Formats: sequence, C-alpha cells, structure tokens
Amino acid sequence: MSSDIRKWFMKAQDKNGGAAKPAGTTALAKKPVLSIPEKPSAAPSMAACDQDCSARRKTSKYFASKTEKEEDTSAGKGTGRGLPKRKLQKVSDELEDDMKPLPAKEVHKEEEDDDDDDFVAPSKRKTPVKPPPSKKLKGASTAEAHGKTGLDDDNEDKMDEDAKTPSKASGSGRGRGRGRGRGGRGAGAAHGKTIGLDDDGEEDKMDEDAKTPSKAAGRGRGGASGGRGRGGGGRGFMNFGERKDPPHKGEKEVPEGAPDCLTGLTFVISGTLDSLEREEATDLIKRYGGRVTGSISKKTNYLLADEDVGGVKSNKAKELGVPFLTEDGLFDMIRKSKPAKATVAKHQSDKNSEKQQKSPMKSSPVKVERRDGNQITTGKNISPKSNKGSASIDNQKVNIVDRGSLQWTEKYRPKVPNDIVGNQSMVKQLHDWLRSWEDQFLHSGQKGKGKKQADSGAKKAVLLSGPPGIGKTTTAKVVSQMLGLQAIEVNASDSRGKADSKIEKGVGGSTSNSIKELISNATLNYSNNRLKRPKAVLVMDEVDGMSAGDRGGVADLIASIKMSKIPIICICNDRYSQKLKSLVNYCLLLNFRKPTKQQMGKRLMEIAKKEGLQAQENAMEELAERVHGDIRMALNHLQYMSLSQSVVKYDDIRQRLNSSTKDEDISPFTAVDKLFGFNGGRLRMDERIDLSMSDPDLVPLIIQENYINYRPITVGKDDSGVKRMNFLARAAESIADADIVNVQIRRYRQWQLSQAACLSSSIVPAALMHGNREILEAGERNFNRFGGWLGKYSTTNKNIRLLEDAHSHILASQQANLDRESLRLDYLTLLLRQLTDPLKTMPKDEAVQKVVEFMDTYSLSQEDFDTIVELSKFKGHPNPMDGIQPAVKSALTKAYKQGSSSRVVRAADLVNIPGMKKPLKKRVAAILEPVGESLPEENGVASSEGDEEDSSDAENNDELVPGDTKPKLDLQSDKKKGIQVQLDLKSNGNGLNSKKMPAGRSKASGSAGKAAGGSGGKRKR
Amino acid sequence: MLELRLVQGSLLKKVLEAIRELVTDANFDCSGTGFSLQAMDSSHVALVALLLRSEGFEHYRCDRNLSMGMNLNNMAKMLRCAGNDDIITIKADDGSDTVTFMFESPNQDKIADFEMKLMDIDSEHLGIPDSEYQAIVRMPSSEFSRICKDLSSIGDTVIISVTKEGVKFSTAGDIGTANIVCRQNKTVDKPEDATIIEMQEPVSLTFALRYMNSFTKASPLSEQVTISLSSELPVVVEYKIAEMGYIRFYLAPKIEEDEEMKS
Repeated sequence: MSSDIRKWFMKAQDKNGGAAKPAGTTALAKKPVLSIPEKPSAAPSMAACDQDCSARRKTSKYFASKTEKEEDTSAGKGTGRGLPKRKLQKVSDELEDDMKPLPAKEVHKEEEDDDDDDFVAPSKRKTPVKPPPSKKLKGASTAEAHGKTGLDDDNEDKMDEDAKTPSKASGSGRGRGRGRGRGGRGAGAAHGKTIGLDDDGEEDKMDEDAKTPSKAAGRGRGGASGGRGRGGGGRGFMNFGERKDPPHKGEKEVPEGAPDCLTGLTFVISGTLDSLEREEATDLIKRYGGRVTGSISKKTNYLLADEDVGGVKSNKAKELGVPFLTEDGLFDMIRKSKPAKATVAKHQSDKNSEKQQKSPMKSSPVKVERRDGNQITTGKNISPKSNKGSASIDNQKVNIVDRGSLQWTEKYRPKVPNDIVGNQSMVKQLHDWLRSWEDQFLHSGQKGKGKKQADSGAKKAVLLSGPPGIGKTTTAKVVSQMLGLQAIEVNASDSRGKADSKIEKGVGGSTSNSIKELISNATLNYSNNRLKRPKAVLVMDEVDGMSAGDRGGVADLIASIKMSKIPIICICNDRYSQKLKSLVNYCLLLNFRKPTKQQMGKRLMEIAKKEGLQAQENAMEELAERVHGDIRMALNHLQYMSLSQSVVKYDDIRQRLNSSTKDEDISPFTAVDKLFGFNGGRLRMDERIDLSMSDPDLVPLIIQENYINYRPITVGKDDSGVKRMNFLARAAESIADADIVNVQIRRYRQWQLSQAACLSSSIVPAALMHGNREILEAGERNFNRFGGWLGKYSTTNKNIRLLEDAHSHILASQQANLDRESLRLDYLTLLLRQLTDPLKTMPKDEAVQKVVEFMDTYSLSQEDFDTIVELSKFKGHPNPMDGIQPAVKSALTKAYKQGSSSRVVRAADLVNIPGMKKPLKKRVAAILEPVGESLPEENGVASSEGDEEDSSDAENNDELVPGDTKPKLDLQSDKKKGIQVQLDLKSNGNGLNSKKMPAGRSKASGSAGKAAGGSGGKRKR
Repeated sequence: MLELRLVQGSLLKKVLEAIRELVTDANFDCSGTGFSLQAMDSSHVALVALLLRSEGFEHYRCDRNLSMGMNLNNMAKMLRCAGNDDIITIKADDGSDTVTFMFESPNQDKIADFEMKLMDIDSEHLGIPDSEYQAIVRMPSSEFSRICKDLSSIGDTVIISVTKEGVKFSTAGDIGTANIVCRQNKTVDKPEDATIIEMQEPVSLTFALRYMNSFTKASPLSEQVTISLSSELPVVVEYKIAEMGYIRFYLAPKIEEDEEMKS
C-alpha cells in the first residue's frame, strides 16, 4: 500500500502535475539525508546544493566521483593542498584532477567555503578571476530576483543550468582553491550574472553565455591547463599510449539534455577531445543512454573525434562511412534534445537557496519568502536529474516502506537452471555429471568393469569454484532439484569435521557425524512413489573455509568422497587455495566465471521491472560492472536503492558505488602496472598505498626488478637521458632506503615502519618513474618481470648448501683443511681444472681414470663434481664442461659408478649401505681420524685390515686394482683409519656375509690404495 | 493460550534427552489432542515423531493450534533446572514469542519460572502414512540398546534380519563380524521382558548403527521397544510413553550398491 502511495507521489512529481508536495517535508527530509544540521538556513539551501552538485557533476563527473572521499576533508584543507600543487604542476598536474571537489556531499562545507572563498580564492589564483565576491553576490541576487518574479515556464534544463551557475559562482573559489578551478566554475560566476539578465533566453544562448564567460573568467585555470597542454605536446609521440590532456579541459559547459536522448546510438571515441577526458565523454554518452564501444563496426553511429589523427579508427570509420562527430557536435546533439519546457521555478529555488546559503546574514523575512518559493517549485517540478533523490527520500519518510521483507536475492533466486545468469555450460556440465553419477558409481558393478574403466577419468565429486555471489550455491541447488535430488547443504556454519569414531556416541555428540552417515545412507521420504527413493546430494559449501574448526577438514572430506554413495558437490571460491590442493584431485573441476555485464544487466533489468523500479539498461550494466559480477551484491544494492528512489539511472549507480566499490583482489603485477602506468601519477595517495600494500612483499620486489625499464613521463623531453638517469638514481636511492627500513621491520619487527617502507620502496620509485615501459634488451618481453630476488636468494642458498656438501667431503678426505670460503675462492678453480682438463686433453680411458682417482682422493662424489662445475659457471664465460665429448662424460660416469660399489665417500652421512649403520660409523671415522693416528693401533689393525682388503679386493680385483699393491697402501692409509677399522672388525666378526661393507671400507682407505703409489704418496700429509 | 501441566516432569526431560541429539531445532505443535513434534535430522536420514496426548497431562488447555519453534539444547538447559519429581507446566500466550516453563516442587514449596525465547523454524512436515509392516519385533528396550552398543564396537552398520525363529542383528567390521540372535520368548515372568515377533514375511535390512545408538537414548522412557520393518520402508523404532503417547524414530536404510538393479 504505502509503496504505492509513494510511487504515486513520485509520478506526480515527475509529471509536474502533482500539487505542490509539501515543501517543508522536502526540506526537512533533505536535511537529515545530507546531514547538514549546522545552520537553520541550511535546509532550503540543500535543494540548491543538490542541484548544484548534480550540475557540477556534469562538468567533471569522472574525477569528481573519484574524489568522493576527499570531500570529507575540509574545504580549507582542500584549498591548502591546491596551492602547492599548482606550483608543482608539471610533476603532478594529474593530482589536480583528484582534487576536484565532489558535488554530492560537499554541501555542508559549502558555507564555510564560501566565506573562505571570498578571501582566499582570489588571492590564490594566479590570474585574476572575473567574478569577485561582490559579483557573485550580485549574480545570486539576480537569481533571487528571478525567484521572486517567478519566471516559471522556462526550459527545465535551462533551469538546471541556471541553478548550476550561481552555485558555481559561489563555489568557484573553493574549487579553484582545490586546484580545480575550472572554467565551468569561473564561468558559473559570470553565468549567474548573465542569467540575471536574460533569464528567458533560449537555452542555447544560455549555453553560449555560459561558455563565453567561462573562458574569460576561467582564465586562471585556463592558463594552468594550457600549460599542461603544452607540456603534453612537448612529450609528443614519445609517450605513445598516453593520451594528452584535452586542450580545453573543463572549459566547456557540458550540456544538459533530455534523458535517454542518445538511446540507441553507438559511439566510438578516438583521439583527444577538445574539453572532455575520454572517461568523461564515455560517461556523458552513457548517461544519456548511448553506447560506447571500443572499435568501429557497421553498427557504430558516430565516431567522436575532434582531430583526425589518422589512426585505425578514423580510417575504418571512413571506410565504413561512419560519420565523424566533434565534441561540440555531441554537445549540440544533447542540447537539442532538451525539452523546451523550462523549469524556472526550480531554477529560482536553487538560486534562492544558494543565496541564502551564501548570505546567512540576510534578513529573515526574505529568507522565509524565498523558502516558500523554493518549496513550491521543488514540489512542482522535480527534474529527474537532481531532485529525484531527495523527493523519493521524502516519500520514504512519509510512507513506511513495505516492499516485502524478503530480500531480492532470495526472492529472485533462480528456480530453474535456465534462470541462472551466465555459466550455462557449467550448469550443463554439472547437470550431466549429476545425472550420470548413479550409473557411474553405484551400479558400476553390474554394468561391468569395462564401463568403469572407460570412465576412469570420472570424478566422484565436483568442485565448483568462482568468485562470490555468482550463483554457485544456487546452481548446485537448482540442478539438484531439477533432477529430483534432495540437496543437503552443509556450509561453514555447520560442524563438519572428522566424525567421532565412536559409533556408540550416536549421531550427535561433540563432532557431528551426520554428514559421514549421510553419504552412505538413503534419505527419508514418504513420497507417493516408494520405489523411487529420493536421492540426496551433499552440497559442501565453502570448503575452503574448512579446517578452522573442522577437525580433519579436507582430508576427512576426501575420505567421505571415496566412500560416498551419493554425489558430493563442493563449492569454494579459490580453487587454487593451498588447502584444497589435495581435494582437487578427487573432484571434477567446474570453474564459474563472472557473468558478463550484459548478461547481468539483462537480469537486473528484469528484476527491476518486476519490482516496479525504472532502470536504464546502461545503468544496470554499470552496476554489474561495478560489483565485479557479483549478482548478489548487485541485487542488494538495487534493493537498497529501491528504498529511496523509484528510478535508477546511470549517475545514481556511479555515485552510489563510487564510495562502496567492492574490494577486488589485485595481483602484485596489476598493482605495479597501475603504479607505473601513465596514469600512475594521477592516483591518490591512499590508492597508491593500497596498491603497494596489496602485497607488501612482492610489490616492492617487482618494482625493484622493473623500474629501470620505465621511461618516466614526468621528465618530458629528455634527449640526453640525463634527467632520466637522475630519476633512476633517485628511485634507486629510495629503494635502497626502503631496504634499510625493511631490515628494521623484519629483523626488529618494527612494523610501524611499514608505511615508510611502502612509501620508499614502491610509491617514490613509482612516482618518479611511472611512464612508458620499454625493453632494454632485445628479445625481452615488454611486461613486468617477477622480482628476481626471490629466485636469486634461493639459488644462493642452494649453492651454499652444495658447496657445504663438497666442503665436508674434502675435509673428510683429509687432503685439505680449509674453510668454505677458501674452497670457493681458492680451490674451486683448481679443482675444476683438475676435473675437467684431463677430460679435454687426454685420451679417454686415461683421462677418466685420472679424474676418478682425483675425485677419490678428495672424496668427491659425482654430485660434488656437478657442484663444482655448476658453481664455476658464469654468464658470458664458457661452460667448463664445453669441449668434453659426451662419450667421455658417460665413460666418467660409468667409471665412477663402477668404483662406487667399492667406495664410500668418507664424509659420512651420504652413503647408506643397507643393513649396516654405516653412515654413523663413517661420521665417527671422519671426526676421529686425525686423532687416531697412533701407531700401535695402526699396527694392531694392520693385519686384519689386510685380510679385509684381500677379501674386498678379491671382489674388486677385476675392476680396478691389482691385488698385490694393496696391503702396502693400506698400511699407509691405516693411520687415518684406526677407528674405522676396528668397527670393521666387528662387522667382519659377523661373518663376511656383508661383503659390501668391507669393500666399502677398504675403499675409503683403499680408494687411495687403488690409486697406486703416486696417489698414496700424495695422501700422506 | 496454552497451558500444559505435567505431573511427571522427569518424563519431559527424558523425552528431550532422547531427541536432542538427533535434532537441534524443532517445532512443537500443540493442538487439542496433544503435544507433538516431528523433525528430521540435518541430513534428512532420520526422523523423530513425538506425541504426548492431552489425556496424559493433568491439565491441558490449548485454545488454538500453536507451533513453537525451540532450540532443543536450550530447552534442555532449562529443563535441567527442574527436579526429577517436579511438576512441569508449559505456558505460552497466543502470538507471543516466548514460552514459559514452570517447575513446582512436589510439596509446592518452590516454584521456578523459566521463560524461553521461541524461534522461527521452517521445517517440512512429512505425512507419514500408516502402513503394514512386514515384520514387527517387540523386545525389551534395554536389550535393544545393549545390542546396538555391542555391535557398534565391531562395525558401523547393522543388518536386522527377521525370521520365524527370531531376529538377528549382525554386523561386520574390520576386526571381524558379530551376530546376535534374539529368539521369540513369550514365557517370561514380566511382560516387559518378552520378545515377540510378528512376521508376515522375512525381512533383512541394513541400517547405520550410529543412528540406532542415538535412538536408544530413548530407552529410559519405556521398557519395551517396537521395531517395525518393511523392505520398502524406513524402519520405525517406537518407544511407548506410558499412557501418554509415543516417540518414534524413522530411519532410512543404507544405500545398497545394487539395490536398484534388483528391484
């Protein structure tokens, strides 16, 4: 009921037919909404502000919306900021845009601003601005006069314009103070004036008026932008890809047109426009219902371009005969569509309020009078653009909303699979999978193994993954339902941990067992058809949220899948999550993607229609885009909006979602791309911080890896490259600083420094270097590389580890006593030569033998060989293994392997002979050997050692060494082996069953022995 | 207006203990004929049906049908505050969202009032048809509970086979198998110890022991348990509540690999 009343109200207003809506309520209603309790006169001014805001929004919609947050900052601050920026224009001109004041909520500041403006703003401007405060007042007062005279039947849009202008006049100071004193605003001041003169004038004339003074008045800003323009020109084509700023940025008044005047038209924008940024132009077109596409096709109606740069687009346009349209042409088009009706009343009211706002000291009777007028007018003609919001809010106040308590997300939850937006192929796959599940897994026995094998790839469970809000759960439910399966949903709020193993405990108990039972149990049902037992489907929602309180978690789920007699549908957001790594092997993976904005827009339109909400299609698409495909979120937004308005337009969406954009996961690469992009300099500080903090570990690494590749756009023309070099130096210095800070953070856990680290590691380099990425080396891909540090670090660690292995082997060989560093620096080259040179120069067999002997001497294993080779490789130097015949290599390997049966590297720990605790012994040996050189022991052992060697040699005879040389050598080597030998004796006592043992042992000593006299001599220290 | 006065307060406590493991939230339906509940467990495998007829209450007033959604754990918390021989009165006003439990000690020297908030629970109500069962076994509830407990230490399912001679409970697990046969036995001193089998045709069905164990939590309510089996239907395990009504558990059988194929 009440909602109907509200609609009625709305319509009445829209038609202007409704009796004056109680204006008092408007005002009152507005007050709370806009939260301006400050001054009593604020209420009426609200309306003006409203309009003012919307009006201003039109000139600079894009950036204005961006800065919404900044509105909170006081105007004073804004102005303060504006000044230095001005000075830094070259470097940070983009920032200016950010500074642009935001229409919507600024109102409460307005009054203070105005005060400031009058004094501060002018002084701030470099060039004198035409409308001095007094003029502003004048303009306003003329407007006011209008109000009084009640010139009423003018074009409504014109009204808007008028309304805009005074407000601008008042706000110009502020705007400029913020570094965004655009012509529009300057114009506004003058405009107000003109309006005073020719309020009945034709709308076009109005616009003209608006435009011309703007140029005059806005000179200050014009100068600034001109400067910028020049800068851009200087950069020229060097910065391909970066679009120049429009030469007359913001200088033109953006026209008002009838809503949807561009509906059905398709535009392509090319090149730099005269006064609009690309985004602004896109916005403008979309606002009026047009479409903007990326490339020319037959369907394109116009190519919007102010200059013929002769690019692909214009060529193609010529080819296809697509007409060109200049920016002014577009404006005219929009303007022409404007209905001829003027809503002077509103205009008046705006001015009135504006005035009031501006001059709170004015006498109260006047105010009252004005307010009345205001009320009436607002009541009468609420332009769809500006007043709608407040009006509907109004209505809301009057009627309690009774749109049903049901959430739209529930109400419009798809009932059949075809209702699901997007991902139809996934839905189909799921459907097929579910349908064939039973045959595949339950009756496989009957149907023969053959079938099962044929479908061996079939998975018993399915894993739906995708971002939130795109209907995964819904799909699971709907598809199950369609197949007559009973879906039992278990989500993170249910306990689904590992079942209590004690069956006596029943199904309840500390951990819920019902899930476990469910998968092998039929479900209850007393349906009419008893034979056809209902089948259940287990829908495990949010499986990636398992593990927190769910004992056993995923592992248990996998166990369940294995034994399940019912299909299991798992749902998660991130399929690549570490937690799910094991699960994915058991699941058919279905990845849901975001629906396209067209798909979503269509659905949202339907819903809006059903709810009696008027919505533009492109508004819905914008909404779809803004929520990143999250239908649930889109619906919630829509429902929320429906509470306050009955028409949803493009601007509403933009405005609404600007402040509440959905957080999106951003990859470190994307973050770096954004930071270093052409527009990197336009980002707000908090955006930069957000970007660099998106991954505080990786972003700095990637930046450090890539910053050299960027050609900073801020240096402008730079033939010698000196400037760029300077920038590089500064960036490098900053990165170095960041490293110092980072050490503090990591080592001493000074996390409060993370802001500083992020600033100097990411933001400063990015601010300096952002621009065009170029390749420095031929063949390089022109994309940001992943930071090399991590890989290098791990390589370092690996190399140290390998070196340490070789080191310990050499130590154990007793041939050298050295530390790791000297091994690397002093020995390695020599070792390498010994290892590789023979292979290159000497005949194969000889060389191989020599090298193997050498290796044995130093207890080098083949891994050590590789290590040495590996560590000696350097970029730009020949590989030490070059020039060695593969045959030689393989012979070496073979020879070494051959010897390995009789060889144990003395370094211990690496060789493990089955059945014996050899490694341990070896380690002992290695440690104690130097000590155990006492002769008696040696002697005592000698004989047994000899025996041992004999036996082992008997085995090894054929391989390498003539048996007779051995004992002698053994004696020599025994010195080092005292303890080792004793141990051997013990093992020998067991019988010679373990032949390997003695053999191995003998090798430790005997490897040298085999090496014959020369090596034996070498071995002695 | 609803007022139910139950002299045997402990009975309500026992009922609650019997079902709260299976079901966490349930709607209690009060009508002129009695106080009833029907609820499925979360996985829709088992169902509990409770009926307490109005005649069993000392005072029963129910002006119009009322459905009260309660969280059984919370309700159990409140009832735990009642003494075993307390008289329990359940009171609720039409349209109110609370229910009051009043506990009076037997000698009327202590009266406790507990008010509990009700919940909105949407549950589907199954129409359970009265059907002929192929086999009905009546046996001492303690015996049944003992059997389930014993078997559950061996396996996780129980095969209940009813033949002329008796009823066989068997299970198989990793460690081995177990069979327990209960013969028909009508000649006992006390009627509640009797084991009676009424059988049209032999039945053999498989059930999850875990659920059976949960059902046996109702054993304190009754000396005898009635198990009704039919090959096409869920098993019904019924505990009579003296002169007042019953509590019935329904359990769907296990899924058999080749079930469909046979049929």
